[in-house]
Amino acid sequence: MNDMEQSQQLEQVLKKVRLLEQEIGRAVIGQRQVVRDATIALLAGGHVLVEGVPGLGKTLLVRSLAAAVGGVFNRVQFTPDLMPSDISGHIMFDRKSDSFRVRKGPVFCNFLLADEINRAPAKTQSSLLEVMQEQQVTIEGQSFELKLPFLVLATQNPIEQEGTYPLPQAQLDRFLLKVFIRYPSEAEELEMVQQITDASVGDKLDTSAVREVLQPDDILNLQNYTAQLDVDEQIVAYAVRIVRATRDWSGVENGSGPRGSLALLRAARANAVLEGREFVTPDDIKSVAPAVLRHRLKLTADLEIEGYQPDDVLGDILHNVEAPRV
Amino acid sequence: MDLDRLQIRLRRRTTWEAIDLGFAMARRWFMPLWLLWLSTAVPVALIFFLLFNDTLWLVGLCLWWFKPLYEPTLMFWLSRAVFSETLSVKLVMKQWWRITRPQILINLTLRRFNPGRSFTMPVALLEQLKGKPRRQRVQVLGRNQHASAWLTVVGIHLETILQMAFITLLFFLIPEDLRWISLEDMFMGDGQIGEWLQLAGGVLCMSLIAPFYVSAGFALYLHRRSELEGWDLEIAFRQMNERYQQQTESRRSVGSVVSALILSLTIALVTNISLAPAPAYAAGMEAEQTRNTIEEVLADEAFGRYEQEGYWKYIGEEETQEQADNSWMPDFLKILFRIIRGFLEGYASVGKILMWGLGIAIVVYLLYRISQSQGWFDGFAAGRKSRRREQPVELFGLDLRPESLPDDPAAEALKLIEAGQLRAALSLLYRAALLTLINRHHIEIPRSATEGECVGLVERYRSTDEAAFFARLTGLWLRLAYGHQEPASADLITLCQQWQGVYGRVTD
Repeated sequence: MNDMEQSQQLEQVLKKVRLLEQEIGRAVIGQRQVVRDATIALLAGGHVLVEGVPGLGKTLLVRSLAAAVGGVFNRVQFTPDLMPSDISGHIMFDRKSDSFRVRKGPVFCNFLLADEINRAPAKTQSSLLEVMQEQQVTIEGQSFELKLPFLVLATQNPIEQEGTYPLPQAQLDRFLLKVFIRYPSEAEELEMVQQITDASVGDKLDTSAVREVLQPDDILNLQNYTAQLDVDEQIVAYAVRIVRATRDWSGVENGSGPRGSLALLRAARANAVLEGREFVTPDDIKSVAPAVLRHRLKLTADLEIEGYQPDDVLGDILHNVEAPRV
Repeated sequence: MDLDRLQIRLRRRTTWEAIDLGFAMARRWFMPLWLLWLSTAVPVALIFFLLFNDTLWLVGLCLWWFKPLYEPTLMFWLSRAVFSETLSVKLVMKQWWRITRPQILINLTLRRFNPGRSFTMPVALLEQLKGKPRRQRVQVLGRNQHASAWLTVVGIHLETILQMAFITLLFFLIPEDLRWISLEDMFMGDGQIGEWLQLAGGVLCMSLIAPFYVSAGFALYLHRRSELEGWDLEIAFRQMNERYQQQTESRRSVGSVVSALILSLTIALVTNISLAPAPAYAAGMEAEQTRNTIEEVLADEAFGRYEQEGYWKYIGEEETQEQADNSWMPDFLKILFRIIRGFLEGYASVGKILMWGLGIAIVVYLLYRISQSQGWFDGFAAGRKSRRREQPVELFGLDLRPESLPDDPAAEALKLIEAGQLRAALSLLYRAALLTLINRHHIEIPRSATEGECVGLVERYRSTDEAAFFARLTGLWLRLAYGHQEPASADLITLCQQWQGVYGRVTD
C-alpha cells in the first residue's frame, strides 16, 4: 500500500470516527474528553470504566454510543443481590420441549452498560472477567462466543462508598481506560438544560437525536485498521518504560502489570488515528497514559490518607521518564 | 614546655584511656577545633568545586584526600591549649601556611594512607623533625602502639555511618508524597541530588569527626611521650617537692630535713630531670648510707609492685641453623615453602609497583582535570557562562553540542538534500532548531519532553512565525522518525530557505 492509498484510507477512517463523535455530541453536551476516551476504547477494542458523581451523563454517553453504532445495547443495573447468572445467563428446564435450554444473559450484546458496577458483590463483578478478556461466556461448561464488537462500559460513583464493593485489581485490569466524567462548564450546562427541558416531560434520557451512522461491521473495520498501525520500537520501549516505572515509584504499592503496556500501546494507536496520523508518536503514549494506567496503580496508605490520587503520581512518572531517543 | 601549666592530668594510662582523654579534650574544645577545620576545609572545598563542578564525586574525593591539609592547625591549637595557652582561631589561621607547609607534599601523598597519621603528625609538626631523625623518632614512639591505627579504622567507619545517617535522615524528612527518589538512588543513583547530598554530608561528617580524631591522636602522642620520658613522675615529684618545701619552711623541723633529703635523692635517681637535691643534703651522706636508704625506701610496700608485660619478639635462629634443625623436613616441602615465599615476595613487589602506578595515575588524572578546567581562571563569570553553554546536551538521541553543528545548518542541509540524504538533512535542521532553543533562547526542555511538548514550549515562549516553522519541522521529523516516511525534497528545501529568517546561524 503506497502513501497515497494510506492517506485515503486514513481519511475515510477519520471521517467515520468524526461522524461518530459528532453524533454522540448531539446527546452528550460537552464532556469532549470523555467522548474522545470512549471513542479511543471503541477503536482499540477495550472496555471503559467511567467514574463520576451521579447526573453527569454516564448512562447517556453509553446509550448515545450504542445508538450511533446501531449494535445491540444492554444495560444491567448492578445491585447487591445481583447474581452472576443474571449477567451471563443460565440453563433452564423447558417444560414444553422437556429439555434444558440456555437462557443467554444481557452480556450477549455489542454494548453493555454495567451501571454502578461497584454496587454488586465481587462474585457478580467477576462474572464479567471472562467475557471482557475473551469475548466468550461459559455456561454450565459450554462456551458461547459473543458477536463483535463487544464493549463494556461500566460506571461507578466515587462519593457514596457505603454498601459498595470496590472492584478487585483483576477486574480493574480488564478495563482499557478509566475515565473521569467531571462537572460540565457553565456554558455546557446551560446548553444541556435548555436542550433537555424543551418540550419534554420528566428528565428521561433522550437519545432520539442521535442517528445511526455506523454499523457493527464498520467498527470492526476501524478496529482492524487501528490495530495495524505502525509503531516504532522506540515507542514500544517508551510505553514499557512508563509502565515499569510505576512498579518502582515511591508512593505506589502495586504498579501496573504487563497488561498495562499492552493497553497503553492499543490506546496510543487509537489516539494516533483520531489525531489523523498513520503512526504513533510519544505524544500519543503520553496523552493516553493517565486514562490507561490510573486504575492499575495502587497507592500506599500514606498517600491515600493525604488525599493524593493516582493521577498525581502518574504526572510525576510521566515528567521523569525519559522520552524516546531516535 | 612547662609541665606545671598542663591542663590535663597525666597518669599511667592504657592507650584506650589515652584515646578517651583525647575525646574529652575534643568535647571541651570542640568549637574552636571545628571552626579551625572548617576555616581550611571550606575554602579548599570551594576551589575543588570550581575546578570540578560537573563531577561532584571528584570534589568529594579530593576533599577527602586533602584531609592532612586541614588537620595541622587543630593539632597546633591543641598543643598550645593543653599548656593553658588558648589561641584565637584568627591567630592560628594567620599562621596557617607556616603550620601546614612543613612536609605538606609527603603528607598528601605517601603518608596519606598511614593509619597512624594523627599519632605521628606531632613529630613533624611540633618536634619539627624530618628525614631520618623523624623516622627514628616515629619508630621509638610507635613501638607496640597500635591504637592509633584502630583509631583511624573506627574513625573511617564512624564517618561513613554518619554520612549515611545524614542522607537517610534527610530522606525520611521528605514527605512521602514528595519523594521523587528512592533511598537507594540517593546513595547510589546517578543524578545531582544524590551527589550533592553525599558531598554536603561528607563535609559535615568529616568536620564533626576531625576534632575527635586529631585530639585522640594528640592524646596518644602525649601519653606515649609521658610514658617514655616520665612526665607524670616528674610532675608528681615536683608537686611532692613543693609540698615538702612548704612544710620545711613552716615547721622548720629536723625530721623533715631528712625526709626532704630522701625525697630529693629519690628524684635524682629515679628520674633524669634536672631536679638535683640541695648540695647541703648530698654532702652530708655517704654513698653506702644513701644506697641503704634508697633500698629501704624501695622495700616499702608502695614500691613493691611488679608488673609483667608480654609481647612478641622474633627469637628465630640463623638460617643455617634452621636448615639443620629442619633436616627432618622432606626436601619437597622445603622447596614448596621456598616457592611460596618467593611468590609472596614477588606479589608484594608487584603490589608495591601497582600502588605506585595507581598513585601516579591519580596525580596525572588530577593534573589533567585541572588543565581541562583552565577556562575558569580566565574569568569566573565569563567562564561559568560559557561552560554552561558548552555543556553537552542530548535530546531525543540527538547530539546537541554546538561543535557538532555546522555554522550554517540550512546551507549544510541543502547540500545533504542535493546529495539525496534527506534523513540527515532533516535531522540536522531539527537538531539545530533544538540547540537554538536551548542555548540561545534558554528554553528549558526536560528529558521527558516529547516532540509535541517541545512544540508547545515554542508556541508559549516564541513568536507565532517561529512556532509555525518549528511545528512544520517537528511534523516532518515525527513522520520520518516514527512513521518511517521520508519527507519530500521540496518541503525540506522550503524549510532551509525559511531557516535563515527564523534562526540565522548557529554561532550568532
